[in-house]
Amino acid sequence: MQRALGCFTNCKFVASARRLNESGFVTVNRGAPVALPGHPLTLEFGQRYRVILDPDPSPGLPFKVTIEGYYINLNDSDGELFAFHWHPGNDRIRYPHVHVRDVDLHVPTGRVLLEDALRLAAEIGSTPRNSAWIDVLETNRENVSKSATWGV
Amino acid sequence: MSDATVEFVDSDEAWEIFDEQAHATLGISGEEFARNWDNGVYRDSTDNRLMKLVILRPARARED
Repeated sequence: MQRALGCFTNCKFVASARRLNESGFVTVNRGAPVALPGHPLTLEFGQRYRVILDPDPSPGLPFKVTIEGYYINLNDSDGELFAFHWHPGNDRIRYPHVHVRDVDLHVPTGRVLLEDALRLAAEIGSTPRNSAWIDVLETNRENVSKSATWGV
Repeated sequence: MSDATVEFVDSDEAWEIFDEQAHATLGISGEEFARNWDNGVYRDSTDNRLMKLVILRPARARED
């Protein structure tokens, strides 16, 4: 995620859990919106995670990170444009979904990664500062898919 | 060109971040949001912004 967002902007991730089985969050810019370059778009990102023992560990990698929920919001100058949500433990809507501005619906999605939202931001008009950004996003996606148990 | 950086924060700072975002999002403290959420105040709400605070809520109660 650091490399992916680093293709667009400098900012800091903060993470609140580092012990085994501890649940915490990771967010950027202390939860505040992050301006994306080249377009009046901002990104808000937060994800709940837990570090667990990998039931199918690779050599030298006994742990894995399991994701327990996320929000990824893309906003423009008129406010929230897309809000990708998955928060199965805290909502009547337990599947991943997207809110689209002016539409009061939970539109089902697959699992959405930060990388997917950044690609959408580029389609809307944000201009990544790293010319290799597509390679970075796709490599990240492939890496996630190797350990993900669902949706990638 | 550098990657974005990552910093691990302790429980107090996690609460600070949650509190900042509760104020920025709803104009209330993090503790008030947590109390409201636990008491079902938002049960029928369709406010998308609530989920941001649900995700950022620290796992442990604030220690005074």
